[in-house]
Amino acid sequence: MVTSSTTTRKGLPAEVWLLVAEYLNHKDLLHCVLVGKEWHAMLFMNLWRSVNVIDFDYESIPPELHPFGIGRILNRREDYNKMFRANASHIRHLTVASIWSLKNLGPDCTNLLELHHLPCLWSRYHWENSQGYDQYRDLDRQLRERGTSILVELIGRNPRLKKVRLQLPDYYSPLAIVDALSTRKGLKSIRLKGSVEYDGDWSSFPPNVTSTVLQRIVLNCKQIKCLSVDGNIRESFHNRKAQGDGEGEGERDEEPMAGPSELESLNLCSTYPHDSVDMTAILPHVPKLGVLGLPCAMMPNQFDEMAQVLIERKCCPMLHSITLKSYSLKVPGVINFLLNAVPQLRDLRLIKCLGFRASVLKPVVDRHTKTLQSIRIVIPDMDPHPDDVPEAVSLLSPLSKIGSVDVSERVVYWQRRAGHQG
Amino acid sequence: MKVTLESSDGQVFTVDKEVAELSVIIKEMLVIEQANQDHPIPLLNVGAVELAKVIEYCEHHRNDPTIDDDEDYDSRKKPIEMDDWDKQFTIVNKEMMFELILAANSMQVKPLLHLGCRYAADIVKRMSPTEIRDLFQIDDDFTPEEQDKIEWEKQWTKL
Repeated sequence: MVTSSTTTRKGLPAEVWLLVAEYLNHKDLLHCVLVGKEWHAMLFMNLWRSVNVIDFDYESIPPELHPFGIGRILNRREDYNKMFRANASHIRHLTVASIWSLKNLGPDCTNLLELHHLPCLWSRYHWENSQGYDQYRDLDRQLRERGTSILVELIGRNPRLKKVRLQLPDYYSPLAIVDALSTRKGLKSIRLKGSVEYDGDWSSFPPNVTSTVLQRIVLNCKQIKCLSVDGNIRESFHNRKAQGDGEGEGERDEEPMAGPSELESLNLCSTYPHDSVDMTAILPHVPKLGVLGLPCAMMPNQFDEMAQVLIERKCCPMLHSITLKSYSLKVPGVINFLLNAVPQLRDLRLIKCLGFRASVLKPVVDRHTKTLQSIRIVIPDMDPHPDDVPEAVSLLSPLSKIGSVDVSERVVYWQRRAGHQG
Repeated sequence: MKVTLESSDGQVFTVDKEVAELSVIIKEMLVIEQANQDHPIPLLNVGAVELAKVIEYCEHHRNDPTIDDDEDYDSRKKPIEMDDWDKQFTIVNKEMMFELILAANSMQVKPLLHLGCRYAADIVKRMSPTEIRDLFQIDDDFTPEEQDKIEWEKQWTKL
């Protein structure tokens, strides 16, 4: 029998090498592009698959000392712009911090699968006594005025986006950005970072639009599986006069997509419901919800209303994982909610909750012993109670027969052992 | 239902239709030539040894869920699960594996193609450019100027 082995040693076609490149990391690829012209032409673009530009604000550090190469960027900005533009079409996973970098991507950046915009402090960038600071500040102001449109255009150019992480208060118009996101039908995961706010007088601040943002995403992006909103989102946090500049705020036609929402995971752990979030308006629209991180410090009546929606309308039958962060477990309603509103409770996480006592939570554990798979209790580091850890251990120790209990400083964690069902 | 396949060197293989259909190309051919299935399907780029190996792979993976290629465009980072059988299957010499990759590519047997590419990536990994050149018999055809340009380009790719 005749075979053609050894004749095609280097003869793998380019399209196969591109697949091979998917399994190589950046360092391996660097070696490959140095092999020869053919390989360089074939694989060079893969070096730009995944790009991190962490041009943070490091005030008063001389550019040449900046970490992550940002000093180099600033010193040789023209080179950097050129390379960035020339290769923008190859980028699939992008992490950037500044609007400035987003703008420099240019119109060719159309193949993004993942966009991560870091919380950016770049507006406060200044090097004391540094040449070019005035120029930089002018550029800064201009860009920030156009920040929303730069981001909206970038989102609009990238039909294959699957995952986005954005810091919303840094832009002028969060709603315009959310509307742009809702046109991306391939999106599976959205993480938005708002601002962390505590109780206080926020009346002088721009309006809180967290609930609007949530509802728009839930109603318009039905294919989203995972949504996380960390902190409250305010319209035009930096510049109130920008209100009305944003595209289509207020007068937008709501055109909900047909079919039920695919949302499986919703995390609202650092939002504050008494300011904006209305859970009862969201829960009836997310029948597949399994994992829920509740907004911080809901009022007792809001808690009861939410429990009522869940119990009476049975709108989230698959709900199995609950996270409570910074709650006071003494608030009436919390325990009731855990007892009655989540019949299939599998995973319970209590992060820095106050008033934690074994006796308070025991009924919850007893009620759900059959379904529970894991319990994680993180003791608050501010305002600690000396008995908190022993209480957590005494709560979970009866479960050690069917699982393992780990205790490390402030975390008590129980997980069911495989094979011990019910 | 059975399908017959003919290798480039004229050997004929008979396999179950669902096994042959792991090849996207054969699946499409079967749709087009539904009425005319008496003669074997010719595979002009695949030799008998490779075809036998491809069929062995398809027989084993006949019940696997199909991979939606677009959907998993970026999930290749988390490669397809490789079971013991796959590991055993890939214990062949390099030449054979490259032939298999070519066969999988021309027949479009996606999971096998990915398995092969992973194998090829493992070979190339941690090799210096010189070692890669030796392995694939490639000449270093960069001029010094081009070398400089590449060094310059390189520094921007990891910021």
